Amino acid sequence: MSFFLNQYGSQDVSEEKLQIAEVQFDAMCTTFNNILKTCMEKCIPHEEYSEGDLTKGEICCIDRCVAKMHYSNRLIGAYVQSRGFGPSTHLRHIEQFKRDVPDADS
Amino acid sequence: MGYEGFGLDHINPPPHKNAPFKSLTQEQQAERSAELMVDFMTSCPGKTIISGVTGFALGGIMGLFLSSMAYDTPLHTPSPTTSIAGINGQAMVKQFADLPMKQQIRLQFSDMGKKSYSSAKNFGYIGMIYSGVECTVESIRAKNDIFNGLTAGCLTGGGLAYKNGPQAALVGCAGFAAFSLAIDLYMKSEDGKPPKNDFNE
Repeated sequence: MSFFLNQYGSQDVSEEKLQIAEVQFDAMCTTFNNILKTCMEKCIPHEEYSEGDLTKGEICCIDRCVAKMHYSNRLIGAYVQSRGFGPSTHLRHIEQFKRDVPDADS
Repeated sequence: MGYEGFGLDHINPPPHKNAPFKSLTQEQQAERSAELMVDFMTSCPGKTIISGVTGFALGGIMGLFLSSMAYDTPLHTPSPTTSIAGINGQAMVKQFADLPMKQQIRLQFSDMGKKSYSSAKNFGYIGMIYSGVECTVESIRAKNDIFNGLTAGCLTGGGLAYKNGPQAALVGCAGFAAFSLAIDLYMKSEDGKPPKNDFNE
């Protein structure tokens, strides 16, 4: 860790920003993994491959699958955000879960 | 609706993605042109053109070799030297053999060239249509199975025999589709899942 050449050294660490960043990272990571899993299951055959490169059909399938998943994610996210969906309004049961299973929070 | 990235590309765009060509260094320029070339060759029009040109070349070579055997087949189309009305074939052959050697050779080469060119055109069409149809069907269906080859074979065979009537078109379609099926099955016969690990033999 360089104490002299750190360009972000003058900024303070804000707890709120850290939490926001954590939530954003979780959301993006979940979305990405969902897209990855769904499109792999839909587009890439499980029984037989012939070569290591993607074929033309697989390329088209993956392009379309990722575009659809990404667009629908964006749509639903915008809708849900405009309705004020949040942990305090719609996810009250999560506090109970956190109390019941103390080590599940990750 | 197309996918444009998660937004990180908009906030912090990669530096050389859309830079104009002249502003790149030598090796980046080479990289960019190689990318464009590969993109063209794996796209549908590129594949069609490459197949057509390859078919043309192969058909030309095959036509050269087959032209020497053309006198044996009953379907051999008569060359202009034998189709003049009122003169039978033997007289024509005798007249042909009486010409000076250079002219004989020249006539022979022109005959070979015509047959080779027609064979090249035929094979070029076959390659072009088959590859184009298969690539298009595969792009539309977004699946990679044997049905693409069957459709392409049927349309190729039917398209080439179209002028001879509907029955010939159907026969051509069925025949070419069967041929494509055989070749594809043979090429896929060794496909399978990769082994779970490298230890069992």
